[in-house]
Amino acid sequence: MSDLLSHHPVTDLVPEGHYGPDAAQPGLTAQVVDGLALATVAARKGASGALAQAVLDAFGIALVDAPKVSFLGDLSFIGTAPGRWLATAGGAPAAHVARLQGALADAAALTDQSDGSLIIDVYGPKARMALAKLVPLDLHPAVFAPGDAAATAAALIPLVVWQLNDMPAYRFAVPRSFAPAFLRALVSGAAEFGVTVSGTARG
Amino acid sequence: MTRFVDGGLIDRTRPLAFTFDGQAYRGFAGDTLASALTANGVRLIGRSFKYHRPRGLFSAGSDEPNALVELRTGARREPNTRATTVELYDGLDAASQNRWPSLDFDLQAAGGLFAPLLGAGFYYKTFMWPAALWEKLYEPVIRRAAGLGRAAEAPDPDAYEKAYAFCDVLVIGGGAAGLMAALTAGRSGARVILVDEDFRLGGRILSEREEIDDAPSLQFVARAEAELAAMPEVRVMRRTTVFGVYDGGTYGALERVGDHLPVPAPFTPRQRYWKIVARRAVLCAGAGDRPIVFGGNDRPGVMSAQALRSYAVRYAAAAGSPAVVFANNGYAWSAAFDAAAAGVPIAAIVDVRAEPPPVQMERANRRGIRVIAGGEVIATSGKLLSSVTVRARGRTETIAAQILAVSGGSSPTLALTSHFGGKPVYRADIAGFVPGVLPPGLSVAGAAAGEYSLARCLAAGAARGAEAANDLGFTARATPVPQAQDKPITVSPFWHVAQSRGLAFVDLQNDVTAKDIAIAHQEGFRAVELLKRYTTLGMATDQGRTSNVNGLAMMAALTGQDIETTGTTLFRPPFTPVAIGAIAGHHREKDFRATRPTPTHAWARAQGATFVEAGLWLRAQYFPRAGEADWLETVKREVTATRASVGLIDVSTFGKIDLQGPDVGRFLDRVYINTFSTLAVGKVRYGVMLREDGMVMDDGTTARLADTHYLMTTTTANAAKVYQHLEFCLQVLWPDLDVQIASVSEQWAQVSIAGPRARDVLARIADAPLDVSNAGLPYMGVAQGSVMGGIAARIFRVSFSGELGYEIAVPARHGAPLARALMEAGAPFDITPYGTEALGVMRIEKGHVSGNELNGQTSVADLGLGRMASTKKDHIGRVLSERPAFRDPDRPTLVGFKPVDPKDRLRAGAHFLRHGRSAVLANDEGYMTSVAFSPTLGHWIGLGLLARGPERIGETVRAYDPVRGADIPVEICRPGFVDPEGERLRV
Repeated sequence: MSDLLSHHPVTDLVPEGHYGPDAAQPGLTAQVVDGLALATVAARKGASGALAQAVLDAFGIALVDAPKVSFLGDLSFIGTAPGRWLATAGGAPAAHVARLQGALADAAALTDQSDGSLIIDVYGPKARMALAKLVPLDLHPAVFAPGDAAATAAALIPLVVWQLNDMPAYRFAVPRSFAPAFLRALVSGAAEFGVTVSGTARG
Repeated sequence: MTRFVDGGLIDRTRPLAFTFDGQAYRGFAGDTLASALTANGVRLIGRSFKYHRPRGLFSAGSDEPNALVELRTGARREPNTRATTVELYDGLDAASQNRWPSLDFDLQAAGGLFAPLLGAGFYYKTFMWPAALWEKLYEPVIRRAAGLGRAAEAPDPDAYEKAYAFCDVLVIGGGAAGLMAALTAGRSGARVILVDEDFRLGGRILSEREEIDDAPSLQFVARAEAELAAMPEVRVMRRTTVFGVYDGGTYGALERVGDHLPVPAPFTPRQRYWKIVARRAVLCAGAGDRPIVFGGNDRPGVMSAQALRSYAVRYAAAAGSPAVVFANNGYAWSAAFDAAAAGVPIAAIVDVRAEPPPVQMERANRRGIRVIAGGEVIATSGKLLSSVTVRARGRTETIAAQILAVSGGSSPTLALTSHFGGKPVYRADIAGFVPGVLPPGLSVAGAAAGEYSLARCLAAGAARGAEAANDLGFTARATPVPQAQDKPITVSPFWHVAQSRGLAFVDLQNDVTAKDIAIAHQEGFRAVELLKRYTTLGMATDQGRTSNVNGLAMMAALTGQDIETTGTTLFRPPFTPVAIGAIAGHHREKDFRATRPTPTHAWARAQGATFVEAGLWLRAQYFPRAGEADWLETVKREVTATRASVGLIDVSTFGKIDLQGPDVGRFLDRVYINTFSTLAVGKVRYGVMLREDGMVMDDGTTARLADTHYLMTTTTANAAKVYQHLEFCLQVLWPDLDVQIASVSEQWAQVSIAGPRARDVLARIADAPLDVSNAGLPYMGVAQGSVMGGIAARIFRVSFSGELGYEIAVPARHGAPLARALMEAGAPFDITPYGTEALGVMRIEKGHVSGNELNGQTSVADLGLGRMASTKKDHIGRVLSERPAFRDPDRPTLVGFKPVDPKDRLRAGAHFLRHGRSAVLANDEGYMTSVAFSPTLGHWIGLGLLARGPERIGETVRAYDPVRGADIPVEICRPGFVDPEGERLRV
């Protein structure tokens, strides 16, 4: 176990701050993102086509049934399983679910998950190297690029990850109760490159 | 000092201080511990495993069988490290092991006198009888004598980690073949990872004075390294050992990030455990020098010919002078020539071949080196080697020598090729085994494939590298190849000097002698696998890399079979030892597994809760108050307060599964034993689900929120398992059903309030128009609305405690505010937070089953729930729940128990016996599953499974608990000690 976190309660999110060698610029940042509403969207039996059409009609988004991000503006559909997506958008959970419900209820089951996961963005020049210690995915830019997604496990924690841009920045949806353990594993491995943790003070 | 004044790949401007057995020495950057000891004239490095014989260095690589040492001190102490692979650093503190009182004088070496008694099968034969002595005497004695080195006695202060890497072509080994494979594949644009266990690339090139393209071969290495470093898609990993080949092109590798430093650099691990996923791999692991078996071949100073060369050429050191070379092949001669050129006087080359190749004779002649052709070493002498006795053409001669460099040929380093079961194949022309059937995607190049000579290694590396890249659609060219002028060597098979004096060792690490092979043969352990296990040949850290071939060749000679027929054992991962800490990585101590806090964790901590692990969750166990003597007093208070007024507990850890779709009712009817399609909207029902084999899998309540929308709860322990089960049912069993499920366990915080004043508390936080009156929200009802001024909530009127109860669910971020709001609203009623202990007491008082009863061995009938099962429909587990064994009326069935003497304490795990029956298994009638002290009744109560239990209410039986020395009479009663009619639930 790394000394870095050994005196910190395992039940709490890793406190905000810089971990690792002092450097003008951190190798990466791990930031808890607030204010994002989440919902699972699961296509009804035999309604994949209808769902895709409804998403296109209502939101102008061409829904891809694959581990990809389909998005327009701040509304994103992240493919997590065949016929299943995690839909994210800014704003209040109730409004997000209501908006989806209004457009998609006939073609999909919708479930609010805004409190089920913590959204954690990991970005910076060393993000890829740090995540190589955490995520069992090939994050080489030729293999995993902005718009790619995966439902996987990291440090024995089930989660969803997708790439936002080629900074690179990755967004993780981590089940709420696993977020402290996820951040512990991330920071332990990333400290070598210098990692700044932010957004964890609000708990 | 035995360091040469110049030469070698050491940096004489960077001296390093180190100690061995407390003695201070100096080496240089670029040394290994072994080379630095050699340069300091230290020839005695350790004591052997079984006979405690003095041993020196045999090799200069990871196949070292002898020189196992302890490194560092205190918490970082690390036993059984091969001195040949330890990169020297300033301040290194090393010690010999397996000796007492000192390395030079070891008392147990007296065991050597009894060596004839300690041969193969000694333990099997000696400790057979009397069997009663095994546990008390033999095993402790053997355990004390066994094992090498001492583990650290304090927790390892260093960090370890895991990492993943991906590539098109993985090249294992950075010698001539590996460099060419990596260059060739890398130039094609393929993603390449080159892994080498040394801290310096080059492999054997570093230890040989060969030329490539008419220039010193080191220049080739430097150019190759520079070119590889400049390729963006190529990654070079030094100090890294590929230790195993696994499914799907996965390779395990261990990177020694900080082993060459006194302590790892800040924020970096000591070691890193890599999983490398490679579409193709090229094994370029080279070959190792093989010993020859003869009397006295383990004396310090006897080493492999290539080790002599490595120490002389790479490290500019020799462990004495002069050297005699004993061999059967030309590669050993070139080693002698290189060593001589570096400064080691060669007294003689003894070759078993009567007529060595003339070209070699001429080279020896030119260097003034004496050759004894047709000769054999038949004895050695000196505690540290001082002379060797050679017999040739009938004459015997003793030659003074401090080094005897031996080579019986080369053994390709092919361990990784047999990790998928591929058996190595014998090739008589090189007198060695080469890889057989290879793991998928792996090819072999250079000496590892039996392609000896630098020229062939360069060409083969390029060819295999190009093939691997081209296979994947890249365009790689295997030519042109840098040229070397050396020729493949010739070898004349030779294993064993039968007529020699003294113990002749086959396996230096395990002290297996030629005589042990003969014993194994004589006693019928002739197959190689039996030979290995009977004699321990080829076991332990070196996996027989220096010993296997000689051992089986000698067995072949004894049985009269050829070596091919005799065969060889396989190698298993890991190739070299891997520390458990590296395998664990981040996951140790508090990070062994994730700790999951509940939504109210911080609130409970502030209330002074004591926590308990429930799977990965941490739950409040009880909330002690000042002045309470122990947990029992606290729990009694929590139960009494709840039953008298109202209590509160976080139940967020229950699994929660959202089910939507027109077929959910039908689906649940098949999953549960009871019917859910008829459940009215706004109602909750308790359900039990079975495994296919008829055993109870889980229980919980499911609510119907809307016509096509249900919400299931599961036990905390089975949350993931039940979700997985439902996914399986929907994807595999009934893909036609239109049902969508989603886990919402993390989405909703759920707090339960229970007790006669629960409704009063709830009413104070419920927002209008939510009606929580008995009529508005009756028992087993669910209401949706909001609480605390606008927070969406679902309220389930269910009870585990037996009291009027509600479970209030809010989005998880509002979990702690909900607990605080309930505490505030409940203040007038003295609301009491309680933990899992009080919850457990109340459910036992109520007679509810829980994890102790839902243990995977019980049926619904066993639990008294048989009448719940609908007979009008099929459900999972129905058929097998009608097995005869399940219908046996003697099956232990759930009942309650109370002690006949109210002062007696009940113990879970106690077995039931009829009075007067002896305490033997045949009389066993079942056991106590759960017990609690009931504050409500003032004595202990229990639940248990008893044969024909429900028919025996009122009888007494013995509760027999030999583990804790209890044997008390208990009365059988109905489960349900408090409010058996359930009146409190409905008020």
